[in-house]
Amino acid sequence: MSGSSGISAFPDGDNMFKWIGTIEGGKGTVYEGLKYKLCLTFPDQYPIEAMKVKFETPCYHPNVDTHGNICLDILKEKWSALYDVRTVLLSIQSLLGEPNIDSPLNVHAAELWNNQDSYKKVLLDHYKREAARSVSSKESVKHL
Amino acid sequence: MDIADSWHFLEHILCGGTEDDMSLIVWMPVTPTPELKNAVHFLCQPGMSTMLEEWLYEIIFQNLSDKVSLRFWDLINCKATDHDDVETTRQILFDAFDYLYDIYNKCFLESVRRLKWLQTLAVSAPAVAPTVTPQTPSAFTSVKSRAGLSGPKGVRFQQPRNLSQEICGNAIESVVCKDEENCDGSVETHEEKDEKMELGDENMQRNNEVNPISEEHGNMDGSYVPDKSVIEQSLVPEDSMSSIHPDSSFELSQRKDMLFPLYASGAEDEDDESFIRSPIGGSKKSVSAPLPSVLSGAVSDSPFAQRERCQTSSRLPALSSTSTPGMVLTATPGQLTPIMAAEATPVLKTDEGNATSHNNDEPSPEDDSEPSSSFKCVLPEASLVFGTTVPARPVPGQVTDWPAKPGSLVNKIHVMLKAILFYTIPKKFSAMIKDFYSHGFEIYKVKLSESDIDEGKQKSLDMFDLLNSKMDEMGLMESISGSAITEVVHSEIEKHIEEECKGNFDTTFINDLEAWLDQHVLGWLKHIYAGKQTASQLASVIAFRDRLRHSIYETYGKSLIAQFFDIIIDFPDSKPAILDLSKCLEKSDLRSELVSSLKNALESRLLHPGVNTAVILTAYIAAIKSLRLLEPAGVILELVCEPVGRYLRSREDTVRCIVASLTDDGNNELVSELVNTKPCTPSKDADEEDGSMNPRWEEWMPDPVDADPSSGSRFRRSADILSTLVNIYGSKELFVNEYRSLLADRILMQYNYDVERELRYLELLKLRFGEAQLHFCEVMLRDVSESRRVNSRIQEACKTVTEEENNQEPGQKELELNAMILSAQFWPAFRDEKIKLPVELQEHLDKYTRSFEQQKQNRTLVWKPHLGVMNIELELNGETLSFSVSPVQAAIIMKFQEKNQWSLESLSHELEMTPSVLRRKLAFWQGQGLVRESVQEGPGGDNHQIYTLVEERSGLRGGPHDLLGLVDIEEEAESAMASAQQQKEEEMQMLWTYIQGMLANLDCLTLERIHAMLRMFATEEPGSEISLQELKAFLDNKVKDQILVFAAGVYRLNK
Repeated sequence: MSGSSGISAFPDGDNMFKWIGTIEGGKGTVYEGLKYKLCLTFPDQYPIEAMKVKFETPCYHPNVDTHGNICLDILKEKWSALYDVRTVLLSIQSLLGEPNIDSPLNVHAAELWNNQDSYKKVLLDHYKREAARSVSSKESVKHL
Repeated sequence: MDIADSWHFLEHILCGGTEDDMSLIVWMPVTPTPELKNAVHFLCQPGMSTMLEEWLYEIIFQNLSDKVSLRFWDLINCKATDHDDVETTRQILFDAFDYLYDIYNKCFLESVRRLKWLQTLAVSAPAVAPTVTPQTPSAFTSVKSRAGLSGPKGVRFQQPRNLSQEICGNAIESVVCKDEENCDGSVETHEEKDEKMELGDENMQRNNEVNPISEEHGNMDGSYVPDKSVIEQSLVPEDSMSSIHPDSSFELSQRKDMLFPLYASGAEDEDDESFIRSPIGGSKKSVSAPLPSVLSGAVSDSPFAQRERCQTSSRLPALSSTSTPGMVLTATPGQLTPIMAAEATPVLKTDEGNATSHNNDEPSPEDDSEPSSSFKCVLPEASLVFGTTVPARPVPGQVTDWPAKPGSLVNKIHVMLKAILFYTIPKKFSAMIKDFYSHGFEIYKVKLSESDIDEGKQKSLDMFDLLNSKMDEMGLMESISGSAITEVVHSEIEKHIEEECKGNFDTTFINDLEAWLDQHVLGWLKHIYAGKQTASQLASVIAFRDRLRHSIYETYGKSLIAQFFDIIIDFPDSKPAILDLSKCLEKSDLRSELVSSLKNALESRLLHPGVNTAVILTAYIAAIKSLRLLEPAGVILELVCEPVGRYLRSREDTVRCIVASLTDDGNNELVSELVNTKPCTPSKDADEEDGSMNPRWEEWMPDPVDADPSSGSRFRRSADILSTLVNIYGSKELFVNEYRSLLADRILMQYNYDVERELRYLELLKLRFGEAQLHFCEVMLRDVSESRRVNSRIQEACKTVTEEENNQEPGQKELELNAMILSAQFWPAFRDEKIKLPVELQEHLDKYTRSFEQQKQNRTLVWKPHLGVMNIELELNGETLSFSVSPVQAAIIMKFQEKNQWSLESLSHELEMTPSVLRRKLAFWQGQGLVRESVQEGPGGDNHQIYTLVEERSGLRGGPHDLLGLVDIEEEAESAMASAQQQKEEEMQMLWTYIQGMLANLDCLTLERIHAMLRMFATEEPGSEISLQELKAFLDNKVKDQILVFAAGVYRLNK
């Protein structure tokens, strides 16, 4: 699935119930130029039940916890069968730029949000650190 | 009585003369003289008749090898080398056999006949009171001693009382010693005759030699000589005789006691009478000389070889030693008689019973045709000889059966004939024989077809018959002509089939062939073999008939198989040939030959680049139909057509051809196939699965042996032609897709709104391929009828508008414009051609578009100007020309309204067409002679092509213009649809977005994985399947463009 700018998703292998999605940070937001991978899993009752979305790439964001879980209403109580992968990914993309700091999962990020400059600094540090970690983990895998 | 005289007399009776040329032999008449009587009594001696028979046999053997066979081959050879003329050769053959037959009849049969007569006489001779003279035994023993000297090991002279001892091999010496003196005397007295009897001696000696050998083997009764020739079997009675000891020895000696006196009395009565010298004796020197050479020459080959070998051990003195008649007597005194009594009788009876049935070829001299009768002298009756009527004494074992039986003398002579004649056969002989028989067949055919034949033919036919009957009588038929006849018959069958059936497939020949076989071949065979029409002869010919029928089926089958490709091509007309072949296949084992030869024929004649796809398809369809007719199970079809299917798959235009012929007008087979056959539905298949449900289970036939067990026979049987064709590709999608573009072409070529016919085909196809597949096509056809309606409404609207406009600005000529409105989504991609139409045209189109937009909300029209047709009229110097051309061409010629001369560049700029396309289009007008091309040197030194409108159209027809016209016609026939290449590119573009998405999310993937994913997600549209190779090429291109990175076997996006 692709087409909309900055989001794409594709089934992970032959398993149609597990997709890998990619979100680029929206233009004009602090997340611009950053890429996040997400994991989308579809439960048996999909689309009656909401799909489960998690960040694979660790994301520093007020509504995303350290495990990558996302606090987003349309994935919980406001789920509707009309939502599809594209709309969900678009919602998450916009969530990146417009977090809900009233109900944060990452309090540190929520507090820092109002100070966009320092937020961006922390965010980039975090992103680079994670990227480096993922590279090193990949390499360690290779060494193994 | 002089034994020698009697023996001599007997010899004389049996030998006609002493001539070197056997054909000149003259038989002496036999008169009932006392001498004859004596001789007959003499013959009554036990064993004498066998002895005499042996002797005669030997004489005949000598004559044959010395005189007859040489002469016979001389006759054939000498003359044959001189003349190569066919007619002469036949005559030579005839003469040679005539000579042989002459001898056979005149000399051999006559002597055999006389021998039989003598034997009969002997049997019916009145018994004479036995008076034993003392001299006789001594005479015997003296001879015996001589024999003992010449062959000490094997000699068996038996004094009656000594028999048992003799068998033990002890008593001989004493006997010899006792009678030594007498021996000399008797030899002297009979010296002359002894010499004459040399051959008889030899014969006797041979007997002596054989016997000890057989004794060594103990059990001799027949089983001893399983592989020996008939001649040797004739010895068996004697051999087995000696094996009767010692249990029967008492009985034997008793017999001898009883029989011996009989001899003595016969010998006593001997009268010294002058009689004609024995032929053997008279020509003693000339006869004895060649004999050894002949014998030794025959060692390797003749049936006598064995005997010869037996003989060599002790034969050193054989030829030099003299013999007396007494010696002959002593050789087997009384020995043969007991076995005759004990054993031979039943054997003879059975032989007699079987003789006629077993030996059909054997002449039965009773009903002998008369050529030999001239030689026969009347032989006196027994009563004349003995003076009184005597009832025939039933002597057991006496050979009275004249018809040949196995082992009888006549039979032996036959064997000898074969052995001696065929010891050396000249090279030419078999060819001569074959030629003779094929000629015979030719004449026979002529005789059958024409009631009256000319004299020459009748003569050669008679000659043919005569020669056959002669050979038959001599028992030479099978060995001389058997293979030749078979060969001739087979080659005649081949020839006949070649002549009658080759290249003619529209009639069935099986029955004709069988009739021909019965009438001609079997008639001929009967003619040859069964001249006497006995039941057994006919039966053997009838038995041969079955083999010939098989052969004719096989030959015909082979001939059909060789031509099967042509049969396929002629299919509906060649049905009879196919049915014939299926009959032939039933009766012969030609299936594999059919498969391989047809495969070869198809590959060499059909599956090469020089053949049109349409032609291949036609042949393929014909092959399917004919092979189905040949074998409903479809196994041959499967085996043979596999390469055809494979080849068709490799051709690009196959699907197009199939679909085109499917929907073609006219009498196309595929159309009728489409109309007539119903595709098998799954439910029907399910029924067949359950055997009990099938009402026709009784007619079920198993698959042929060469069927592929992995594929179900049901599939093979049920597949119709269309599904077979569709199955070439394994998918319906390809077909449907191809049909879609074909349909688009056809609709757009028509320029009218008539889709009746297309609708009908569509419905038929829907039956076969299902609704869903053909949904697009349905929409396309709906578009057409829809556009007819819309078009007429727009026209009305336009008319009202233009009428209003016309009122305002008259003089503007109105164009009548009809449009075909197609739903872009459902039609295959169109070939795109850019052109900027002249303003006048564009205005009209725009007006039409506006009108359409008014009628249909949210829709607009995108014009495809290159797909239409325009009727234009050109006025040139008052001459009006009308054309039907594409709008592009119209636009071009309209440009020439503005100015008469255009350079290629400016024109292409004006029309927004590429120069190359423009040149192609201009070629049409050049071909019409309206535009002329010229080259003008431009200011920059480069050449400009200038096109000038030709106003004077004189003499412009013909020449190169027509050629150009042709080029253009080809161009016009180009499909309106985008080419496959273009379509492919578009598909690829679509796939590319998928691949990007994949790689963006899954980082890196192998080629196989990408392919699998595309198959899974990106194949909603029919025909969008992509092969692994194509995908690889595509991705490698992207790598080249540095959009992708290929490393370690995986592709990833280049970031």
